[in-house]
Amino acid sequence: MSERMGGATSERTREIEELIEEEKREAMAYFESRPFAVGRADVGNAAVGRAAGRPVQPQRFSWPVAASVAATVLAILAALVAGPPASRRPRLEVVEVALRGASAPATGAPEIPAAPEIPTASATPRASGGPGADLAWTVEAALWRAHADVDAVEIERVVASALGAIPSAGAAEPSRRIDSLALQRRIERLRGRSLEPLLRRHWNG
Amino acid sequence: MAPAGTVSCAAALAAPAAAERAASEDPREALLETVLAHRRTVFLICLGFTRHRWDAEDLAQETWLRAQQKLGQLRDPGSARAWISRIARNVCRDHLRRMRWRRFLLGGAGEQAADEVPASETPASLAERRERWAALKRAIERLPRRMREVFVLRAYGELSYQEVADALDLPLGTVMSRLHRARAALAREMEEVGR
Repeated sequence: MSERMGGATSERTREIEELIEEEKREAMAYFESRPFAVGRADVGNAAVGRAAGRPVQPQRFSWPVAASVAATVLAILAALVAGPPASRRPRLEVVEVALRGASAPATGAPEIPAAPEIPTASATPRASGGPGADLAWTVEAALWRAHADVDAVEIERVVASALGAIPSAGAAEPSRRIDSLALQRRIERLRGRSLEPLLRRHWNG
Repeated sequence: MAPAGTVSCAAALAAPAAAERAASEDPREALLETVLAHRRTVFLICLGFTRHRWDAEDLAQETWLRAQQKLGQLRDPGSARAWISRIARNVCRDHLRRMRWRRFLLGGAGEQAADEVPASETPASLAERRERWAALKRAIERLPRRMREVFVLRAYGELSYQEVADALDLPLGTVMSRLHRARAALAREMEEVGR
């Protein structure tokens, strides 16, 4: 039985060799008739063969279409991961609302903690009296309300620096005005540098 | 008349003479000519992997371009055949990988038709012959990759056992056992079809 199987195997092996030899002969006859240029990127003979009527199924695949589909899918995935932009934006508007004297935070913002007792050290502007000093208090209290755990010393420094131009009581009226531009700049810096990460930490838990 | 730099493959196959001529001129040219002397081997290896002459021709060209770029890596001109065979194998492997993705994406569309059965066939045996060719093609494709590589280099590229071992970085014994197993597997497949 094994001899019979062995015989069949060698017969098949012979047949395989014949088929391969025949295939090689045919292919070489074709190959030898072809121009051959080394070092030139004149590849693409398959394309020439197709143009000459080689039976190839029509290709439905298109790289531009595939790239466009991939880009769309990626954009959708990115949007899903990012979520609505507003929900991830730091809620700095709370500070602005507080500075405007509003008692409630902006819509959707978390409740602002109650203002703690103002440290006595920072009460100097009030002691100086006058509208500038009142405004200084307003600003400082608003900042406190907006964010209770902002370093008190930092807030005091910023506000005091912003209000540094306020002279002591009895000075001439024009010079009592707060330099609103300087204050604005200070608040912007506070927002941009130190307050923003603090706010993020506070509201994101 | 053939364009400059282009020769017919039949003429180019008589490369040893050209190699000798070039050897006296430029060492790099000589090395290139030595490598080019194996263009038949390269084409047949590519044919064995793709089973289609047009694809094989394209891949042979790709192999030559790559070989030219890497010519500096060929240290021993005596092993040029194994060296170029390895490049051809890599080129074909990349091609087959791309085709697999393509087939996956297209679900079979874009797949190329097999080569025609030789024109020398008589009408009576044509159908059966075509069937045998298709069966052999399928059987070779179904071989595990490691076995297929050894088989193609040996049966199509006509490399010696030692050259196959050099081209694939394998011990000689491994080449022989893989070749034996590949032949047995092909014979079994063909026997199944023949029943």
